[in-house]
Amino acid sequence: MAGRMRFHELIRKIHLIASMIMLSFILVYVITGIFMINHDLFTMPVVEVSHSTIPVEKPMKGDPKDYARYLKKTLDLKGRTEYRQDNMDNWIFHYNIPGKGYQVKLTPDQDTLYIQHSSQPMTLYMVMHRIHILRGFKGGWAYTTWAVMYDTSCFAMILFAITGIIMWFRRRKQFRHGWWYLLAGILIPVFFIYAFVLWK
Amino acid sequence: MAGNRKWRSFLNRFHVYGGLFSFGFLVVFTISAFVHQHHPKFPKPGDKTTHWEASFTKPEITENIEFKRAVRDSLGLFGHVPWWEDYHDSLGVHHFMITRPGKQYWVTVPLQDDLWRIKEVRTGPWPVIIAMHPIASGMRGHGKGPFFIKAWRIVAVPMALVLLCVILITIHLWYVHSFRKTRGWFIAGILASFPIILLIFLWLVG
Repeated sequence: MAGRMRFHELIRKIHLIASMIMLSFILVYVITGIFMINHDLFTMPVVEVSHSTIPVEKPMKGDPKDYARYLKKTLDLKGRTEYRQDNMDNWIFHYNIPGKGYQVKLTPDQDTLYIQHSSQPMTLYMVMHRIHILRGFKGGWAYTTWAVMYDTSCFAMILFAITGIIMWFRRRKQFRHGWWYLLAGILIPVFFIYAFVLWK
Repeated sequence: MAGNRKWRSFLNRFHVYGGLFSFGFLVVFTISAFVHQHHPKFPKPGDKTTHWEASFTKPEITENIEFKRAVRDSLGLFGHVPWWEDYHDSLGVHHFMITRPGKQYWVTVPLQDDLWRIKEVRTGPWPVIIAMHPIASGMRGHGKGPFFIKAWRIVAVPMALVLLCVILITIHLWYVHSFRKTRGWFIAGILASFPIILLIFLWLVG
């Protein structure tokens, strides 16, 4: 009996802590998600693009990560940093903050930096959209922290759902219509999933 | 007093029944949210390919994307026509893809007659489960899709709101029944506010 009480107490605590972890995330994603679902009520602002070139003062040697940091500092750029090498052997460095983006291209001969600056007015819809799609581990400690918290929140959501079912099951005589609600909650997404799978 | 008891009873029932009702929705959205961050590789569909044919006159449209959309509509399909899934083979025959969650179609454009050959690949329920998240905002440019695209869009909002209410009630019940210590406030404050503070930091500092 005491063991069962301890188990129930543990499940209750997990349910509660999971709810606290996911509260802010659910709040943020439900609000921004409602904006995204009703995207046709908003107009998308136009992206303005400008280009410039500057000579390379210090060529890239070794780790592109260091060079990305060097460019960020010397060109006074801000934001999430990502880089890649394209099929023409150019190194492409991206710096993004909401509403502004810089793409710096370093050619293989390392004599010129091509800078592309794009900016988009940050309307309410764009702010909501950017928040909703913020994910991924790249871009520095703050983005990694957000990504870890995002995963933690996903884990908390699953725990919240499972512990909720366990807690209801123990009191199913009191909440005897629970089976119908659970069944409806499962069948609605399953119906839509199989509608996509089976439709012509 | 009686009104208070009624309100508490309502909250209790909403918490339990609303939570049970949100279970499927929460699981689908959590899986898809996790997949959107990690992009795990799913097994490719096995032998789930069928071939079929359709007969209709080739649309008189020169612009490639509009031509492909017109073919899609004539075939009675819906989905996107990605520009990169498009090629002409060594005989000059045009092939292009129509794709949507759950299915992909490779369309072979007839050279002379009106017989269109379609290779249909069923990708199974996994890609659909993952796509249920973005599909909640509709499928832009997918053509005249069936009723359930719009229906899912309508269903998703109340289900999300029920879930949000369930979480708020969980914390409210905790506050009413067992919120006694300062430590509780401290933990709740940190867990709830840290993501918001970090989000503002990312927004302002980048």
